[in-house]
Amino acid sequence: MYQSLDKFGHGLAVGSQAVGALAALVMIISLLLGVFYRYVLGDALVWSDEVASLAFTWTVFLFASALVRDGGHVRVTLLVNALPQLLGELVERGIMVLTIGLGLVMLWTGWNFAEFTAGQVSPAIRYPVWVKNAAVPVAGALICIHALILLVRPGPLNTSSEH
Amino acid sequence: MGEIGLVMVVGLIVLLALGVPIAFTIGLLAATGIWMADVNPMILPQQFIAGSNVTSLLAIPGFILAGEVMSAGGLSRRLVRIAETFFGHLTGGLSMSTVAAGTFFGAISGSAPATTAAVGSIMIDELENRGYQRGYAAALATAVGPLGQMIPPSIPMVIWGVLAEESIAKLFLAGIVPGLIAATGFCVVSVLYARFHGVAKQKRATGKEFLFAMKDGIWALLAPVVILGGIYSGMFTPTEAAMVGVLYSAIVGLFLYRDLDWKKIPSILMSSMRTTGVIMFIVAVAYGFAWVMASEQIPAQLTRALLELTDNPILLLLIINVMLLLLGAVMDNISAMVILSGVLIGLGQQIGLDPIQLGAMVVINFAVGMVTPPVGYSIFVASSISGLRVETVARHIWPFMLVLLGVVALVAYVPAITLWLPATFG
Repeated sequence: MYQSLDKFGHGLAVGSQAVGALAALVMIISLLLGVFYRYVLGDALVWSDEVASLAFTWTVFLFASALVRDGGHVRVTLLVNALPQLLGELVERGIMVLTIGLGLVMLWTGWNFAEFTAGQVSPAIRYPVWVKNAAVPVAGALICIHALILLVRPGPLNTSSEH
Repeated sequence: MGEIGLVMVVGLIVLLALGVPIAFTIGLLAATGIWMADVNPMILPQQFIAGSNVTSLLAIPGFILAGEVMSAGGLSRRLVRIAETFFGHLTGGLSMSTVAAGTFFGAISGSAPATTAAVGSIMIDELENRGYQRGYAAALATAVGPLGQMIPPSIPMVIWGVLAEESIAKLFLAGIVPGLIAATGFCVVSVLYARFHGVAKQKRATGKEFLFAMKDGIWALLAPVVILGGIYSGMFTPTEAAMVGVLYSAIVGLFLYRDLDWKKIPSILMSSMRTTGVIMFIVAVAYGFAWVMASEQIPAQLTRALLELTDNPILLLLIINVMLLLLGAVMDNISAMVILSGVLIGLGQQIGLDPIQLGAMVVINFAVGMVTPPVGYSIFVASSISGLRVETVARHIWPFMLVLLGVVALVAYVPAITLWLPATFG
């Protein structure tokens, strides 16, 4: 049972990182196109900044969610590592509960915010801004899923010794 | 300080100590503050989006990616070789070459751990083979990391420029002289170490070797010219320059040096964006945290409290620097910067500090925190590359720490060190 859950989480993390990396490519290419148009074609590209920051927002939030799964977010582990194993493990599970907490807050407030901005469009290319704002609730949901799977993991959570 | 301020400060200390990831600590406290203040909770996602959406911040993934592509593309290896032909035959030569390579790599990369990784992965074994202690070699690689943040481009300078609404190009210039002073100080440490431990000198590179290293390394040497030249000629914004840097390093790695394989590109992109995700998620949630702080007027209160202690600018500057050093040692520098920017900018105005000098001061103080545990990323990178324990590396770090502290003092009390270049070329 847990194995298939874990597999699902893994797939989700890989998938969201792949999409995030694609978004990063879009960001790089549109900024470079902006430069190319300005200098080579002598024509400023109005949409390049807007597309780049839209793509970047998704890169940031998708990677931020996937990083929950493999403990990639920076933290101070001095205390957790010094605690006796059982207590340390308890603290780790507590951290997962808090992580789910922030995930839920992001899902709930982010959903409302995306809904609230549903009618608005961006200044240059006039794309609906909820497309960007939806990154927060989507990341919130993904964070919840990853943290939940870790919360019920049978083995120990803290496998790092350094950071 | 009101109830909310107290909850935020105590919560920050407790959650960080318990090992809650920094971004989640900050995000949860921002949410708690907004809930306690009874304002519309939609402020939170709005601030998160705002924090991840400043065009200038898009330079960050660019500089991270450019650095990684250059390492994988063989550029850092060539920089090291050039440095060795210059300094190799001197007392402490290989150690000085490491410093020079770090300085140069710093002009491509904007991050301390990336600089430590790029230089350390090549130099630590070599230094040990030539008679340096492995602990010293790892400490040296740790210490050159902050050069990556002082010498432009610099990720923390980008973030500070966005927070303080100052010119990123000017901030970049402000870091050059302090970076070079630190590098010179590290060279002095190298010479003293080699003298004291009797490390043998190497033989001088022949003219032929020198020419070969230069010819082979020319594309690596040109990388900073493209990136920084593009910014200061006004051709590119720092964000565009970062992307041009990515393109340049990819072209050099793929087609000129051919050390880079197309197949490696997806994994380089992935790992760079993971690093970006870590940094930028902190920035995004810290925007929410900073919003709560500002709406509770906590920065203004803290500023006033400090000014009540003393209004002597020299003493205040000392207090600010000690505070920054202590905070930089226990807190991740990016979150500390976003959270404290309000207080620091207020204090800077009160004592009449030039905002560019203030920015350089903040970044350099926090850079010192990169080389010490428990949150010094550079020391962690050096420890994992060298296979030594963090404590072992830390034992060898003190001479370099002294140099960095000296630079901190100079930056605080000699404005010309940070302001001369921006005034001349900015």
